[in-house]
Amino acid sequence: MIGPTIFGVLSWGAVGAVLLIFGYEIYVFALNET
Amino acid sequence: MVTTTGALGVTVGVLTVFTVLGVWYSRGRVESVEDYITARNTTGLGATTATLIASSMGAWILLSPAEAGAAFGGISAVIGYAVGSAFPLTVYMFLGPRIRELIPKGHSLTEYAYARYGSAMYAYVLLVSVFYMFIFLSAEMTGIAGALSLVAGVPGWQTASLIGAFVLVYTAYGGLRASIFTDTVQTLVILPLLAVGFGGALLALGGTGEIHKTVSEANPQLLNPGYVSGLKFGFYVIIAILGAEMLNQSWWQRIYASESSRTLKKSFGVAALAVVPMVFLSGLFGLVAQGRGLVEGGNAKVAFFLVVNDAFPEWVTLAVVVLAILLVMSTADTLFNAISSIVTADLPRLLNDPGQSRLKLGARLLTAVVALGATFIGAQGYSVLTLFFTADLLATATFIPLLHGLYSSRANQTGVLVSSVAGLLVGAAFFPPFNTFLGFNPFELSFLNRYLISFTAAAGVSGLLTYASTVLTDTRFNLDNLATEIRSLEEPSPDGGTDEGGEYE
Repeated sequence: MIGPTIFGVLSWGAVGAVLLIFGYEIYVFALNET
Repeated sequence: MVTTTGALGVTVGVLTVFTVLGVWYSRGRVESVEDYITARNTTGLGATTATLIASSMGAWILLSPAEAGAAFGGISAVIGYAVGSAFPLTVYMFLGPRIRELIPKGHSLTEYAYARYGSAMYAYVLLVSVFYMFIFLSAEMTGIAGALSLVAGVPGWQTASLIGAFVLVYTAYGGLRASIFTDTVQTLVILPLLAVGFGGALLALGGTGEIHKTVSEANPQLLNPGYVSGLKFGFYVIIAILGAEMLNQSWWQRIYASESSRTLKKSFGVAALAVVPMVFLSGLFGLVAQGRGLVEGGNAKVAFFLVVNDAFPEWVTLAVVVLAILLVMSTADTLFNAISSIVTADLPRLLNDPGQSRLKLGARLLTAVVALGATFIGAQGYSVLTLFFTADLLATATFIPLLHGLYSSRANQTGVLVSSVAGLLVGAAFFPPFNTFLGFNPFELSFLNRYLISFTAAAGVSGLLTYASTVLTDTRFNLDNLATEIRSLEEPSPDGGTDEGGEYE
């Protein structure tokens, strides 16, 4: 069974990853690579 | 609970905004049927990545991953689902450039099947591909209709009709270009909404420590990444999704719409990375639903919405409604256009070189037929899960024989058809819905084991036999011929279309 720390890292890491992808998309559009 | 009027108002508002955007963007951009179904080399890195994310993320991410977490094996099933959803996109990173290189003027996978193998394989692939995409679309409509009925009491027929009608307006008008543009905007709304929504949900449920405690008290196996049931589920889901997505015309269209192979490769890679955390987060809701004791009597398929109803204030539920509408719109417009394009690409051959305006009219009529059919089925609230699995099995037995022809000059129609049908028969022998229908269970296996063997055998047997058939044959197909036989729809061919089966040497 995974412990609460790993569970927390996985959960918040996934939220962070979605935000990172969003940031990447904004960055690409800012560079005008539509 | 959100009121029915409130949910309907939000739904109509979101649908109106994106319909206006889709129509506005498409004005003056769809001059030919090529623009309508292929939009060749027009889409840059940002938009290609966005449309891949939007097209792969339908309303299903709010349903199936949570169901997997709640009913099929906890966190190991969720991780399997997340990896399975990303895997086809990773495969397309390599397959996409190969398709562009071999068939630079192509439009559809069935067109490739016809030119590479002949009319029998074409008919088989057409059937499997359209069946899968139509069931996917109907499942999306059924899913969103069921979800809005649960959280706001909206009658299913109203939800399905509204979504079908609005999406039809901009997709029939602007085709693939409208779909890619609205997908791009939708992704830029969906990503932050998902991140903030899921982040807020983790906090509203008391933080990850509290969630962990609740789940582990209810059933510690749900948090065991080595839980065998979950691993088995994850494994067969990876194979099933891979098979199905290889026969999804939406991806073939975007392979051509991308401005270059480099862009395509990068976009598929980023989209694959994006899918994993989204499916994972959604799947966690299944664990939460189990932990809070909300799952009972076969309601695991709406586990996500059970948690939303149980633990969140009204405004969060409305945000989830917006998210669900965006997710279903982005997938529905993609599939409306994909299904109509697969037939449109073959119309020049079937109608003996019709003009551009007739082709465009044909494509629009086909889009309307697909939309009406899916809306009607979505409004009925049928359980389409068995049909979905059946479509997955058909695709799983077909994708290796079909795609092998992109790499092997020895692959031939008889060999790949026999391999595919043999894979399907072996897979069907273990396929639980088929077993139940016949009242026969080989080796008295569990439900889960039969699914696992069924999908593994369908892919394995069809793959091995395809390889064997290429070793045993002396015929050769010149793969370079694909580039000359499959032409742009703006170039009339002397014989009225693409040639069947190419030239064997």
